[in-house]
Amino acid sequence: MTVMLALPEGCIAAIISLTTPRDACRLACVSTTFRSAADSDIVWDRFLPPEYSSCLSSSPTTRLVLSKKELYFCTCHNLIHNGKMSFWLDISSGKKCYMISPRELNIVDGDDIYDWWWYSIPDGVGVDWWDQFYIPNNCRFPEVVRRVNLIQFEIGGKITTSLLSPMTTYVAYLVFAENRKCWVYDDPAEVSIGLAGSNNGQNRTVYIHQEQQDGDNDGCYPKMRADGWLETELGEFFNGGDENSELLINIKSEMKEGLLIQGIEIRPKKSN
Amino acid sequence: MASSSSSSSTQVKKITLKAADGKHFEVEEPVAMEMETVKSFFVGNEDAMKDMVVPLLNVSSEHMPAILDFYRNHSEFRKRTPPPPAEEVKAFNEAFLENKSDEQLMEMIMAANFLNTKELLNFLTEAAANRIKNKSVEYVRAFFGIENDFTPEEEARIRAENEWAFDGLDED
Repeated sequence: MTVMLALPEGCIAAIISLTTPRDACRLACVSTTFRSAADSDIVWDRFLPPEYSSCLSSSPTTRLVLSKKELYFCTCHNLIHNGKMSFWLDISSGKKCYMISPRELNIVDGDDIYDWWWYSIPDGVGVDWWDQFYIPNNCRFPEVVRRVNLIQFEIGGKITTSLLSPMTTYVAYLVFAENRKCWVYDDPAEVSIGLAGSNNGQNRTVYIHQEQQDGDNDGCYPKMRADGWLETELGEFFNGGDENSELLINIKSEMKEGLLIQGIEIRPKKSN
Repeated sequence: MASSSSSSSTQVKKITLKAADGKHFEVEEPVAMEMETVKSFFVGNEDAMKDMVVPLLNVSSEHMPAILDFYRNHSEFRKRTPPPPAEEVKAFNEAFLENKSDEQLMEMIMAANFLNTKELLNFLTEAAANRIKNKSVEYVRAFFGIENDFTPEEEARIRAENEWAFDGLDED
C-alpha cells in the first residue's frame, strides 16, 4: 500500500537532529522542506552542548537574537575564563574544544625575563626584522610567550574534565611558532598527560622543532595548521564524562630558544 | 499508563483498532494506551471502551503486528525490576529493524508520528538517521522518495555554502 511519501517537516527535523552538524548542512541541499528542517532550532539545539548558555555567558561576542544554527557557528573562538581560554565547537561533530592560553598555563619561571618574553597581540604581530621572527597573524589570545633562554624548561596545563564533551577521545596539542634562526637541538621533549591523582596517564616523546616537521606521520612531529601555526600532538585522553577530575598535561623540554607558544589545544580525535 | 499487570490476564480489556486498509486488530488495553492518539479517544469517555472501533487512518495493517510487538516488549522492559540488561533491549531493537526496507521504515515513522508515541518515534527516527549519515544528497532523496524542488541556481548556491560537508561521503 502506498502511504503518502512526504514525511512531515517535524519528523524530518527529528531525523536530522540525530545525525551530525556536518550531515545537517549537507541535508539542507535535499529539498526546500529539508532545508527548512535542517536549519531549524530543533536540530541545532540538539547539536549545541546542553549547557552552552552557561559556557558562553561570559563571552562578550554572544548575542541572544541568533538562531540556534547561527549560535552554533558563532561558537568559534569565544574567549572564556577572563580571556585565558578559547572555547569553540568542533564544526563536524559539535564536540567542545578549548585552547589554554599561555597566561593560564603553568610555565616554570614564566615571569623571569631571562627565560620568557611576553608579546602583546596585535603589537607583536608580523615580522620582527631584527630577530627574523615571524608571528602568524591569527592568534586567539591577547598575549603569547616566547622562550628566550637556552636551558631546559617545563610547562604544565590543566583543564577540568566536566568542561569536555562526554564519551569522547580528546587529543592535546602544543600550538607554537618558531624563530627561523632558532637554536635547534634534536632533543625531543617529554610529555605526560593524565588525570590528576591517577597513575594510568600516558608518557610520550615528541618533537617541537619545525625542522622535524616532515618526519614519520606518527603524531610525534609538528604539523602546519591551517592558521599558520605549528602543532605537535601531546597525547590522548578519553573523557567518559562520569567523573569530574582534572586533566593534567606536562611538557619538559631540553634546551630550546626562539619557541613562541600560543597555547595548548584540546580537541576531539578525528574518527577516521 | 494503565496498571493491570498484576491482575489476571483473562480480565484484561481489549480494544479494537482499525488500520487504514480496514483490517481489525484486537489489542490489550494497556498496549493500546501506549498510543496517545488511541488514548485521546477514551479520555472522558469511559463508556466508549466496550464496542468502539478506533480508526487509525495513517497506519497500514502491514505494520500493525510489528508496532504492537514493539509496544508490548518495551512496556515490559519498562516495568521489569531490575531493568533488563542493555544488551537485551539492543538485541530486540536490532531484530526489529532487521529486514525492514527504507520504505517500510518511512511508513512506520509516519505511523508512529500519527499514533503519537514518543518512544517508538524516537527509536525509528534514530534508525533513519543512522541510515542517512554521511550519505550523498542524491542517496537521501532516493531514501525518502523526495523530488528535488530547488532551481539549479538555488541548489548550486546551497551546495557552495555547505561545500565543507561534502568531502569523503560513503558510496551510494
